[in-house]
Amino acid sequence: MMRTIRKAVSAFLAVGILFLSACSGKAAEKSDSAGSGKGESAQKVELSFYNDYTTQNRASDNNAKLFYDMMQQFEKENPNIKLNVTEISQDNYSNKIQAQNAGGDLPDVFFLKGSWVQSFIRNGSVAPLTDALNQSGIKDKYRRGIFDPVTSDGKIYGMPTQYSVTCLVFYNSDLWKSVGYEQFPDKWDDVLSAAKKFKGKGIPATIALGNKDKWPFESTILSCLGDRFTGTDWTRSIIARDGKSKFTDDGFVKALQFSQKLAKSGLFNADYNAITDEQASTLYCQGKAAAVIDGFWDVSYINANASDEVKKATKLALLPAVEGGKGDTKATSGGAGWFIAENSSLEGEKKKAAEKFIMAMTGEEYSKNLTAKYGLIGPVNVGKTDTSKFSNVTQDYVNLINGGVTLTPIYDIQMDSTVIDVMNTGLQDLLNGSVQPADLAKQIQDAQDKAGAK
Amino acid sequence: MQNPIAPKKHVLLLYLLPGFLLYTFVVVVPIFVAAYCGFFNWSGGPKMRFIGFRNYAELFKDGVFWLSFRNNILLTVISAVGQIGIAFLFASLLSSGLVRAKAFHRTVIFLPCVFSAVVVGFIWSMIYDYNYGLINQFLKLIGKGSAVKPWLSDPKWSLVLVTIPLVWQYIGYYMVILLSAYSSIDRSVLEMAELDGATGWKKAVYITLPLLKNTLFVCLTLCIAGSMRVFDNIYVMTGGGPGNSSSVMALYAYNTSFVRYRMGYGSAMSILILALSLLIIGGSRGLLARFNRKEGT
Repeated sequence: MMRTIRKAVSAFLAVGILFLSACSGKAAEKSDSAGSGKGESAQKVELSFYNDYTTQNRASDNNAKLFYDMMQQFEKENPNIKLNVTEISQDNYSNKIQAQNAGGDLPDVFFLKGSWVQSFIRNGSVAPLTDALNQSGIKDKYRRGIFDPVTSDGKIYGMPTQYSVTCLVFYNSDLWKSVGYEQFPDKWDDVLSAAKKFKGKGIPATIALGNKDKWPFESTILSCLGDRFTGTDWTRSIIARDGKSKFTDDGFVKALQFSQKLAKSGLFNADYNAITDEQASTLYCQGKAAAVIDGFWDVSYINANASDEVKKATKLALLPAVEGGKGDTKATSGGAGWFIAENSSLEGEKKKAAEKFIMAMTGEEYSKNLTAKYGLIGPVNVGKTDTSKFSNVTQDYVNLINGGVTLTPIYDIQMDSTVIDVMNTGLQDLLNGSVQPADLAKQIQDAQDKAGAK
Repeated sequence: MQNPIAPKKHVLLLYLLPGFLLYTFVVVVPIFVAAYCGFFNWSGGPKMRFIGFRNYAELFKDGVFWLSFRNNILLTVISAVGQIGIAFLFASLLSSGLVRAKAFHRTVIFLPCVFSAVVVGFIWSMIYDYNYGLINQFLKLIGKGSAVKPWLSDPKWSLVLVTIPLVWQYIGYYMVILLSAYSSIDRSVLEMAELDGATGWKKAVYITLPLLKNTLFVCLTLCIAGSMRVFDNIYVMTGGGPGNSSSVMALYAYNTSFVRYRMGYGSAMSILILALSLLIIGGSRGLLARFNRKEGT
């Protein structure tokens, strides 16, 4: 009898331990959010804040590092506002925030990726920040079009935390000089004839491309190249899903045809579909490619990894124009990829504190510090900043962007996720000739039709 | 159960309880939840719109899904022949006494299946690399420099190339199973066969193979089950690309739910994958049972 009782107890203990270990994670989180919900006293306000700037992230991403420095500064200057910060790595962040949205239990202030914002707005989860923005007095200083992904019905639902430019041509001026070009050509025909000369000199790639992860070609090249053919009105209409523009329109199909032609002409390294974006940049840093087209993140990558020879010779340029294209030739794809949003359920003191925090983190000071301390571009145009202490690559980047570049939307930040995935997957096939431009355009349009009106 | 040494029934059930509960909550409940979610149009947020069987109807017409299914079947066939076939060969060699240092060989051949699939994927990506990979370097060395190409970029061969690491990784797994089956064969049967003049290959095919039949069926079932849900290796090496040429069902389901944010459709797909896998496994067992009966064993 005793033995049976002991066995029963040990069995239940075993099950109990299993469940406790499974539930302990949840319990820890519960105490977190419970603590923040109660802070409604007139003196102290507590805000729960979720972001994806982990310690690891902050070590290599200066956007993140500056944000955290300024956040600590904010807490010092505002002792009555306490921030309960939860950091989640970017890979898990999407799942976490979406799950909280589904469960109706979002934190007070949180980061949002541009492409998710519209569905959060539709669910009524986020509060409009238009009034706070108007009160800040610097609304017009924000870069043009930066609020597009978070605007609905004339109201703005998020403040940009960073600024991405995804299509920049980094070229090795020494190598281009050796085939007769003082600057990166502004005509594609010149680029293609230079490619032949480079092959003759034993340089395997004129433009390094690493499209294994599918997004690089679309995000860093097509977003801008497409605009050269279609013009920005077409892109805005696609993003709005108002049915006026289609992927099967002439401009976009021509962009696809042109992309296929570029790949066939041997412009890229032979294994462009098998290596990653970073590996392609490495090719450039080693001097094995005459140029690489990539986003602003390559500024730090080249600074950190290129040989001195390559670094000194590196200059920046915009994508060349195309004949008969509708797009602005001084345009490149850019925008804010991430925003900070306010939970729509906040009111009174908490709402005031949340908005104060959000505006402080994304205002003029942040952008000023970003350029002055790290040589990066922020969401607010702060005019001329002294960048002489940075490398020539960084200086070139800042001057190029501040020197009057128009921005066009980055496809994968604003278009529907299914449309983008169909596009990205199809582009790999398009580039190696397995699918024809017209067919791919139709596939993408089908996905767009299925996504329905906004 | 009058055996006095065997534990009492209720004690047995109590010991099985934790594992059973865990299994139910981690495997069975999610399957029912997925089946439920498959009837909705759901993008992961709080809004779920009921659409009945529309997701399943769309699935049956989804070209990419059936391409992935075809890839899974191809992969299964290559794996079955490669993994089990080569494992059988190695097991025969090791138990025939022709090879010395049996323990060493066993360990080395078994080692790859202990590696994480991601590690195997990365190692083979390096082997296939265009500039620095072993294959291309070897080709250049033997003077066949013209055959050098970016292997994983070729849509015609990407699936086969991605299957090779899978075969390499799990040969040891099946070899160990077959070795233990080998050791259960009565020595005297093999000796008598040798006396009758059946040696080497003849002995392996006509004597040992039929005796190992049941174990081989188990291996086949495991191989099919594993090949139907393969994900990690392919994700790391090609991500299903170029295009969809090396896409498999698990990858496509992942993409649909977490990249395209169509979780209702992705859930329906997961249920269909389960149904198809059960069909294939059940079908293969039925076929093999018929085959068994025909042989008169």
